[in-house]
Amino acid sequence: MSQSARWSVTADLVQKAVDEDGFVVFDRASGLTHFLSDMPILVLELLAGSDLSTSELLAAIEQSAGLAPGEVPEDVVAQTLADLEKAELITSVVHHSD
Amino acid sequence: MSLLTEFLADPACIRAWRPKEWNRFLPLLREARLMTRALFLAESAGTVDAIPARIVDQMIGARAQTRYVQIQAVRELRLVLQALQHENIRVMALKGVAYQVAALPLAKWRGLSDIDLLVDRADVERAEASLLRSGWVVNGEFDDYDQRYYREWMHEVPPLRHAARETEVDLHHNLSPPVSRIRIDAAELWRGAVAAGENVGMEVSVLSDCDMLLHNAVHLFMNDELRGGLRDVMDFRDLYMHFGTGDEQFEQRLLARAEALGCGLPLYYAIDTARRLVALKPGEKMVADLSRHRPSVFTRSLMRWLIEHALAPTQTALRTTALANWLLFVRSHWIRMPKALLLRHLVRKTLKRRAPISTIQETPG
Amino acid sequence: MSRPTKLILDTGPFRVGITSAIPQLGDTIAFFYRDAISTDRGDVLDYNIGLHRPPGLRAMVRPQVVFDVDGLRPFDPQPLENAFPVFEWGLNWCIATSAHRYMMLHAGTIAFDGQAMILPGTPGSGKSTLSAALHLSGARLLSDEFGLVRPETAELLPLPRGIPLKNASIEAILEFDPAAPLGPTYPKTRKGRVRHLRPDADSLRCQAQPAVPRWLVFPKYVAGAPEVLTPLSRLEAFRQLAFNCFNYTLLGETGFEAVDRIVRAVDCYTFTFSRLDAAVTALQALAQGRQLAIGAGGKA
Repeated sequence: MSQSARWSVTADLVQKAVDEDGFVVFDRASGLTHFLSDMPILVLELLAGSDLSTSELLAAIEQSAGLAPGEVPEDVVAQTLADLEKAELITSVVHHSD
Repeated sequence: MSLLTEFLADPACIRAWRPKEWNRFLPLLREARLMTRALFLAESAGTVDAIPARIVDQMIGARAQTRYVQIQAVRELRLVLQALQHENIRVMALKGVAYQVAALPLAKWRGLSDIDLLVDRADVERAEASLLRSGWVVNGEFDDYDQRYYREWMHEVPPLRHAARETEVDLHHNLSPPVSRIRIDAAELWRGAVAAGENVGMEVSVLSDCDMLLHNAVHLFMNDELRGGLRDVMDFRDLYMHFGTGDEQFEQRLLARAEALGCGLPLYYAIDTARRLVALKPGEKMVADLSRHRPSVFTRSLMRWLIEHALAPTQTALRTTALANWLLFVRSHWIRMPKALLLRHLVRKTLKRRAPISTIQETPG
Repeated sequence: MSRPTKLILDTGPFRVGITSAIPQLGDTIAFFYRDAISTDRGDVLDYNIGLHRPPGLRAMVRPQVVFDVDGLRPFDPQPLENAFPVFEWGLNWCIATSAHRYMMLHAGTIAFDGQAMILPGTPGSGKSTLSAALHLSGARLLSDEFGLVRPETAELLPLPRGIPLKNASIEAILEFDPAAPLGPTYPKTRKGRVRHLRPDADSLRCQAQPAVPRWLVFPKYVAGAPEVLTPLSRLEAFRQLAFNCFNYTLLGETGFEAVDRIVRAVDCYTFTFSRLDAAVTALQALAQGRQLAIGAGGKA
């Protein structure tokens, strides 16, 4: 049940804004270097504050980008989360509700 | 050998060294995997200024390599724990990776080439299966005989490695193999275990302070060929001094624990070797009490000779090392295996053995 | 069998002991490194290298040479006639496996008045030939293979060695400069036919003087293509420079910071070329602040 998965950041990042095309980051926790564009950076910043579920994250993205609910495609967010998880930057913990 | 132990016992001795000593010392240090340890020793002794600049640069290079493998080991542990999170398996970190997650002083300089994890015997197969499902594969070529040897006679499953990474994962369910004459009650280890990993955002256990030392002793002296070498003797000294400083009960607890787990003999060898080679200074009472665990004077002398020569780096006494290694190997198998199995195993291993001189590939300290 | 002699070679930041009884080897090393060689005065060494002929009956039939360093033998025995290339490759191995005090770029590096141009060695790049030609045209040779960087300052440290030219590159360089000081020909090495270009006296004399990075140029040899410099975005330059670094991953955060330092300090380009002389002219113009042909796209 993906709705009850909560995402959290596992990375310990050093960040460089190399130019307007994006960021390059170094994750001290894994020793990996990543090139990230705006959406993954935004997701990391939102998760850095607190753990969020996918739907909470979607709402937070819409709010920070000044968009109406439903304007941000869910699959874009899902893909970004999958990419960040594969890069070992975030992890999900599944909570089972009663 | 003597330059190494001289330095380890007294880092200030380098002030008297000339180029001749340094040129002999550097390859010994590299071979013993103690480059990074040496840099930290010199730093805390305030003697880095006495090390030639190019040697310091070599040590800094080794430290970079060490730091890299340390980060990769902690990363690998994190990924293993993530893969096992739904299995409800308790995991204990051992040796190098344990020093990292417990943030011990050794974590600064101690390299690793793999991670060692302890799980319950009942959980081993499930843990292995879970890792294999999640992308880890068996690392190396193991035929059926080898696999049985690992599973039945040693305390390990064949090592695993994730297809996308380099760090090897060794799952254990005890610190000494089931067929060994030294039988450690794993339940006792778990009873004494300590929670660690908070500093790196993980939940994992490590051995208690005494058990860490006993594990070091058992691993070094009861395994094949004294594989750990001088570095493990230094680990023993570093752990002993860290846990013993400021804790007057420590030595008594250590001795009592060794006796409870049946590890009096390895503890005796570990302390005796650390005293003679790296200037460990145990208390008088400890030395006196420990003597009830020592073997006959003949065995003692033979073992001292074997240990000293087995720890000698390859350049200094190849033949003697090889002989000593072989004898130790045989001895370790007396302890490990019933006699009937020993001969068969030794013959097989000898047939598979390559030339005694091999290139050292491991991270230099 | 002649008695082994021991030479001391200062090469960049490293001091190397070389012991060998192979007569032609000492002469060849002397040809390339001249004043950087001394006799053993009891120095502290980075590496203690030996090149010896293995004993035994086989040695009569197929003479061989074995490279050893501080008791290790990283390679199988090689044909004796390749003793010098074996020495060079062996020394590279020593540096590559231990010199993590430095960031090691897979790049040719040359200096114009103390400012360094870095030419990373992407496959098919032609960096060695280009570095050789630029050196022959007057630029100081810092290195052909290992761009050594001091991570905390991003300075480039010289490591001026014989530049190995393979197969057709040999003719290309001789066509470029018929007087180019090349060493002996080694017809049968692992990499084919090899000759080395000798670093000039000035490069050896200044091998303790670092240079500041100023230009980062990713060369690409494309047959028949005109010489074109195309500005490269810093982000892409970061990515490609890290990719062309031998020990980027190992250095971790230190490597990350050092690549960032370099990429901020330099002008970044990709450079396609086919003719060596035109390529040298284009890069010299870049070094003098003039540019001949700028490609579209990207930002400087």
